[in-house]
Amino acid sequence: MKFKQTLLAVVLCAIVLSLMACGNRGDAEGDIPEVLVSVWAGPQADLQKQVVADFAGANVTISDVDFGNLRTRQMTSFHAAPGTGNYDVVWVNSQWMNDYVEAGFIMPINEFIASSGLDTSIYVSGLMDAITFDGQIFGLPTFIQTMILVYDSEVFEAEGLRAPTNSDELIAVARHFYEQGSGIALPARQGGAAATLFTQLLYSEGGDFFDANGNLNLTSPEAIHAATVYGQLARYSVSGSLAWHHDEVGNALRTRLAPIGVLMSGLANQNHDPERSLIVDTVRYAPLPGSGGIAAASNTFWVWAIAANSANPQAAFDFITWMASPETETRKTLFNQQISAVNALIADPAVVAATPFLPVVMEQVGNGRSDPTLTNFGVMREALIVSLSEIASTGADPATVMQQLQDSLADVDFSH
Amino acid sequence: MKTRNFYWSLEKGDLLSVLLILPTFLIIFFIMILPLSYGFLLSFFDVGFGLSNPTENFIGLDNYRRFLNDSIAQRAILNTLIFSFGAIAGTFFFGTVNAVLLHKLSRRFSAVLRPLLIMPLLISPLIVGLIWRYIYDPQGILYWFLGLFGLGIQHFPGVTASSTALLSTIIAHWWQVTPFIIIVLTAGLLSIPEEYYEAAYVDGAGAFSSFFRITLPLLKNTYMVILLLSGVDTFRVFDIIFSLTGGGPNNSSVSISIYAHSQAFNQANMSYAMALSTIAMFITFVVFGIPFIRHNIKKSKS
Amino acid sequence: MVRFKRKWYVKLMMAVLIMVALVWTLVPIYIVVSNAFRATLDIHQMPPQLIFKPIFIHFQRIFEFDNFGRFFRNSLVISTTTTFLSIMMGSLAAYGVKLCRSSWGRRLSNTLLLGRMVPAITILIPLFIMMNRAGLTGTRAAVILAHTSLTLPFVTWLMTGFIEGIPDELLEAANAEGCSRLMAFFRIVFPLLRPAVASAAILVMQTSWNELIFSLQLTNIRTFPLTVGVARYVGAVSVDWGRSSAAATITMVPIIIFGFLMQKYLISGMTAGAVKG
Repeated sequence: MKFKQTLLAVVLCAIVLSLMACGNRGDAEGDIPEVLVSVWAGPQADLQKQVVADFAGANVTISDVDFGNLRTRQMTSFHAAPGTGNYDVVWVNSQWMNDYVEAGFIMPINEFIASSGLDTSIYVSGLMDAITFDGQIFGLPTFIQTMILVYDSEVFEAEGLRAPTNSDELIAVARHFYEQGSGIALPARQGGAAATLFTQLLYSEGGDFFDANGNLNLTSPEAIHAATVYGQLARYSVSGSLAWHHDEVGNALRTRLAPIGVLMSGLANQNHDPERSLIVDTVRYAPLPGSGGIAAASNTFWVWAIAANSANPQAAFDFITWMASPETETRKTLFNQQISAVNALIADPAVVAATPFLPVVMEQVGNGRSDPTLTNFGVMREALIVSLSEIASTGADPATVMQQLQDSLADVDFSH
Repeated sequence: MKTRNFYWSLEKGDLLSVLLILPTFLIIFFIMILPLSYGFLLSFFDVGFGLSNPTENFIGLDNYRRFLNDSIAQRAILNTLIFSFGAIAGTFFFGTVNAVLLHKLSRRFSAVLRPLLIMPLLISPLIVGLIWRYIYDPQGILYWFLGLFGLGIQHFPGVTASSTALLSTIIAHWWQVTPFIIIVLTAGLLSIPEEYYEAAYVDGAGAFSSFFRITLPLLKNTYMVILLLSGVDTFRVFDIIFSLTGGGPNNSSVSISIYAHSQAFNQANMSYAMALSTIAMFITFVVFGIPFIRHNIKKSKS
Repeated sequence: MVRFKRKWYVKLMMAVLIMVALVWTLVPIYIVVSNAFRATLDIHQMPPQLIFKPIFIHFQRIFEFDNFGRFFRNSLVISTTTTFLSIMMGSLAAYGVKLCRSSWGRRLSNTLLLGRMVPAITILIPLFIMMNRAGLTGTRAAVILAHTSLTLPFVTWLMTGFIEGIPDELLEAANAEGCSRLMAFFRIVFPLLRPAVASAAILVMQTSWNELIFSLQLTNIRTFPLTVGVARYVGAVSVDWGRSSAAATITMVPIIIFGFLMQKYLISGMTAGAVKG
């Protein structure tokens, strides 16, 4: 009876496997605490997984999730019963901090800082301010990102061009290449990247979403100008740009589809990876300028924070201080060109040499500001995304579109 | 030697039979009936993610009222219906054409083809979505192929524009599910006696008219069952949209499952999500479920 | 088989249609499998090179950095256990239905089929709350239970149909030989169910192996199955084509092979649901 034997084997297998299924909570080894960490599966994740092996204070597992699901995953974990494999440490986008703090998902770390004697003045002070709420510090900053100009110096030299220093020159350069059949690579897909680009153009003009009285004003000269620049860049963008997000822009630049583009600096390290890039030796960086030549970032960075439902906050704190320490950050930056929030590193010659885009990013961050932490800012941003998509895809008059956007948001409360 | 009746009837009562059915009953009860009732109950409360005491804030029908004013939710229902309709229409059309073709081929040839055709069926819809993301990528193979004919992304914007995003997910679904229709119809075709076709042939009927005069009427039942099954399966579509478009752009391809999932786990509106999914289940039952059960009961009686 | 007199152009048209169907079916699979072996820079090259030197760096990375070894084990444990539980419970219940010889048994198994109609999302949200309160979220047991309840209605229904077809005389004879009814199940009924068991095995295995929505919410990094591992690549911002292709390949190839080996039963299982109704 072959069938019976097979059946017996299968049944035995199944029983063994079910037993395995029961003892599955991850077996803690000895006294070393377990720390479960949630990070974004971005260009920094592999390196983070490599360096944690050297952290002696805890047995660290890194769970990296793509950007689209990261927030969902973290939210799910904040509500999980403690001890069911919920995250101890979360890597939080600076734009989410306000929500997380208000909901009590992450814990203040002042007491830990006091007892460990950690000096938080080593971090860029503007960023520390952005993660301090009512005098309580909710994490440690790292991984600064901003959108910068990336160009292929070989092509520019051959064409006798130089890096644009204001928005008019930028449009002229884009047009120059557009008339040759390519154009500027732009993340002009309907989505957050386009909104960030617009915000940066707006801040570089010295403008803001709100006037001095705190009222929404999307029809200010600066906002109209930013929308116009955006529309012109989209018009002279390389074919396909209207469908691109940050990653595709990076691919287009690295495969020489476009000689110039607007890229998120967090992805710039891949330009120097011969496995992915054809422009390793010729890539150069420049600020993304406004009409006056000033370039300002819409500051985004990431924050190491401790989940309020962590079973092991002390080990979690030890881990984040180690991760954000100057030594670990130097190591990561030298290896992977990611920009930390440690002041001293920005002046470190070795770091500057390894990170050709660092000066550009720091210049923009220096001029930059953070997005307002208003409850309905997200509503405005979603509507803005649709309007920008309209400008880019239909070539509609930016002033008209911005006026319509302003009118459509008339009833939204931006007072808190 | 035992002589008692092997079977028992309900009136006599018998422990063994109950014991045999009990595990299945318990699983179904605890993992299906109980959650469904609990979910239905919670849809009348205001439940966030907190969950410490879910039955605290009774809000009556507010969640259902909210649905009536939520244009995205209604869009999601409409999208789901469009998806179901488009998916079923396409898979039935391509499935029928291919099944008839395969049936007309020599047996040996179709024996080689059939295993190749079942490959998409074995792949997770999640991966199907991923594969089609590559295909629809602006730098991917579809636009290269269209480029050969002088067409570009402006002619078919694929997943990047709200006008075609839902259609793009439907096409990916066609790719995966058409083989299922082919297999089922092929089995149905095999059950039709050859003599019918011979008689029709003698009457001078061509391939098309014999399809409409013989094949279609005889396969009416099979079509009915796969119509209802496909209806149920497409109405709860999640994975393929999740990985292909995520519901975007601008909610143009959001399905009711996707929307309920994001309400529950992104927006922490647990109870609203439960109201939404209760509505979805209700529609599924009314449109597809009850006809299916009635069909089954009728069949098992005859 | 009737052969309609076929003109040459009909034959040609059929050949073309079949070629189109084959290309349509196979090219997408080829794309993802071949991307898994291509260098990142080559993936974006159009037209794609048909012949290239395969590299294994993406596979190496998903195992080294992304825990795919662990995910693979999880998927194996979850789908095998689900299959075993589902078939055992389903066939025992079907036997119970037969033993009680009452018309409500058949009705029950038909009603059970309603369970096949329930959208996963409708169970998931309350189940997530319940599991969370019971402290079961994050365990493989949670997913196994969910998958079992998803597949059990169909398996029970399939088995009921099969067991009904077993002649009464066979069971009466076993009874006469002093075989208890439970023994009769294992010695007579279950071996006769072989084709149904095989069909159920491939269908349940496939469902559980490929299931996403429950696995996504009920597991954590230690218990993720492969589908959740793949889902990590499909976000809006960063898609690493090489790595996600390697992950997709690792996930789909085993189940495709298993499906190939069991294709006869797979097909009969799927058609049993539809043709016999």
